[in-house]
Amino acid sequence: MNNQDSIQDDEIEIEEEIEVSVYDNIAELARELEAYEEAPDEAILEAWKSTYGKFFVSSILGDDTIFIWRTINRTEYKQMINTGVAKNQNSYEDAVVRKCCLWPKITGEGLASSDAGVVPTLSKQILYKSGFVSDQMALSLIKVI
Amino acid sequence: MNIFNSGKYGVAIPLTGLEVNINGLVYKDPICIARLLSIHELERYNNFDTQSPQSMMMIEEEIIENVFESFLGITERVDWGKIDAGVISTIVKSIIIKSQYMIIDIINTVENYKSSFNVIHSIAAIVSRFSATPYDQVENLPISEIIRRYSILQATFPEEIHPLQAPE
Repeated sequence: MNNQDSIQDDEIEIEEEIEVSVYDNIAELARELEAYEEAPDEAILEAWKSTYGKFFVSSILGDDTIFIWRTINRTEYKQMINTGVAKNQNSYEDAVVRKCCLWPKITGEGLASSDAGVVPTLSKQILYKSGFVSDQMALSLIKVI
Repeated sequence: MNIFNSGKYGVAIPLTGLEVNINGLVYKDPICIARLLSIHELERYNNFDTQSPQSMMMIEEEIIENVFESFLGITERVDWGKIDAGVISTIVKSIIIKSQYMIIDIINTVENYKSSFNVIHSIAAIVSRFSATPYDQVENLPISEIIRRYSILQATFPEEIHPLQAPE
């Protein structure tokens, strides 16, 4: 089993436990974010939406700490895999989160000081929404026609 | 290609629960139409190193090139570089697992197919055999033409093709 598989194993559980929202109503999100320091405003959110097509908002512990992130595309994924980063699960998770987290800005220092489960959980959310699913789910999706 | 003629001999993979970025537009729950692997492709796949993420990534892209037909309702060519990274992996994984599963569970697979057939498929097989026409060509004929040809064959070769009987 490679790192990617182990990350995907429990994506269904993640979906149930953690609220991951795709935001279409930018203005509403911008209003909610006003309470946060250095949060993106409506113009930045619109720009992200226009650049990435969609973005997601999630929290890890169900508290006020939220993350805004996008999915990873195939070209970015290929570049990441070709660096060999996927050989180490922690490095892989860090790379996914660094690449896709739009807000708050993720720094090396931030990663090191965050609670231990934040980066693994966030990377699972990102990979799941990027289309990576478990073997079991992949088999359940397919229908012979 | 439309909903009636896409995916012949194929599979549908509804990417349920995903909003997928395809050619710059976001599609909710898109349905991928593809086909399963051939015996030759499956044997080749089994010989490759699928443990390394790099090699698996390359295998996935070779397979998608061979088996992908379309996303239902999307006619333009898919830009695979810009699609969400796991979509290719999920489609290919579904296809590989389903192809393997059908072989492993071949008795049930055959029985499931049998239960989905009815008399018109048998009639098509008879028409195919007695008119030396490939079965897939017969299957593409309008129902009326299949039955007309069957009637001719049955009248011409009554010894070999027995008349249909109403179920008791």
